[in-house]
Amino acid sequence: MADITTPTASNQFQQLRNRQNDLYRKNTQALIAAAKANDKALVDKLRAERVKLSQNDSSLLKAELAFQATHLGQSAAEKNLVAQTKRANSMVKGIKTVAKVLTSAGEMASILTRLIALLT
Amino acid sequence: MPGFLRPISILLLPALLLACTTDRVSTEFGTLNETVTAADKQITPLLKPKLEEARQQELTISAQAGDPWFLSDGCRVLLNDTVALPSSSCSVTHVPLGERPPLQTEATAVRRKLDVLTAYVGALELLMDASSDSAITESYATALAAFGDLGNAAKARELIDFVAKRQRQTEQKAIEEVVPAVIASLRYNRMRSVVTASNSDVVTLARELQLHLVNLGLDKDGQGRTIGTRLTALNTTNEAVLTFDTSNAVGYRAAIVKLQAEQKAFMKFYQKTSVYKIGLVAEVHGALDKALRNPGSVEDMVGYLETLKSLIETVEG
Repeated sequence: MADITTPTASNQFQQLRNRQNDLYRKNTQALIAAAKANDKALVDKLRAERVKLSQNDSSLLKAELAFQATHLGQSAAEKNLVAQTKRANSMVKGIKTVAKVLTSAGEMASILTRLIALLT
Repeated sequence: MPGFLRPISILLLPALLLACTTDRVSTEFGTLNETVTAADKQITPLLKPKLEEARQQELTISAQAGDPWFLSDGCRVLLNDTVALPSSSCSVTHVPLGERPPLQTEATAVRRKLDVLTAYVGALELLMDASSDSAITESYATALAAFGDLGNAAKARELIDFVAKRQRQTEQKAIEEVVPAVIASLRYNRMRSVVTASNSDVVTLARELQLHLVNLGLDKDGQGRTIGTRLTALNTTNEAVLTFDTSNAVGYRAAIVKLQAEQKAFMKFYQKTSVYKIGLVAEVHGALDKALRNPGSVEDMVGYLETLKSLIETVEG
């Protein structure tokens, strides 16, 4: 049950974080511009806005921590990584199999050679 | 250039290009491997008491549920057989009633996620390890020689011709160069496809791990404060500076000094935490992903299939 909700909920947190990142970037740019222009009133307004952003950050992190604490089952990311691990391992196994097949074919050929030598 | 060498050169060229790229990738990979190992090393001992706690809880739950517990069948050899053979399969078996899932805590989730991550990096490491490639070349040469003997002994014209053709190629050093190069390109393609397909999952998994680690409060500073506590303190100081009335220059100055000191101390602490190390794993994997997405690599699936085809052709003739 947790597995179904995990990916969508993580995505939602990611989207919220992305939105926060955008707002921060805009605020920083505006703050630099306002400071350069020596616009004290605007600087103060942007400082106050940044406090709100910081508070939003904290509540977002709190919510995400609480969410993660209740989602202890295997996540979609875990499942995908396990599948990719298998893909990587199967390739390695494949290489080893080719070597084994070649070795056993060579061994078989030498046995046949010895047999032929005995029989002729 | 003689005509018969041309197809081999065409085969070799992309393989040589790949060899250069693989060198650069292996540096990125080495860093990834080290980062994961370092994070695992740091977290494992911190996690131990929490995992033991979970084990004890699970035991209580199991006893309350009345689950059956017993020695496994492997132990019978020890107990009943006249020849007391030591059996490695002797263990205590436990069957949860009604397929009750095992207890999951944040500590068990961290352990499981870390295992997924280390297994993943371990698989990439095996993929990078070219030591078994030479085994193919050797066994190919041995098989070829053995078939040659067989052909001569059996006076089988077709087999002799088949082998002679391949031995000519071997004498031209084609096999020693082509076989490992083809396998290297196969490894490279598989690695690229695995890594690029996994990057967003590695980032998500790292985030999940970080959240669990913060919740568990495993990382503590000298005074026993957790990351959560220290982060809150840092944010509070930042907010204090942002809301400070700048007309009070003396007070404002003091607030700035406090923020500078707090930030410096926080980073010093944070860089030693397991949360930070896990973040690095995601970052380094991103770098490996970027190295593998290198522009100029047109072939992906097509190239993969082509190299697979040439490998089969080279080995099987």
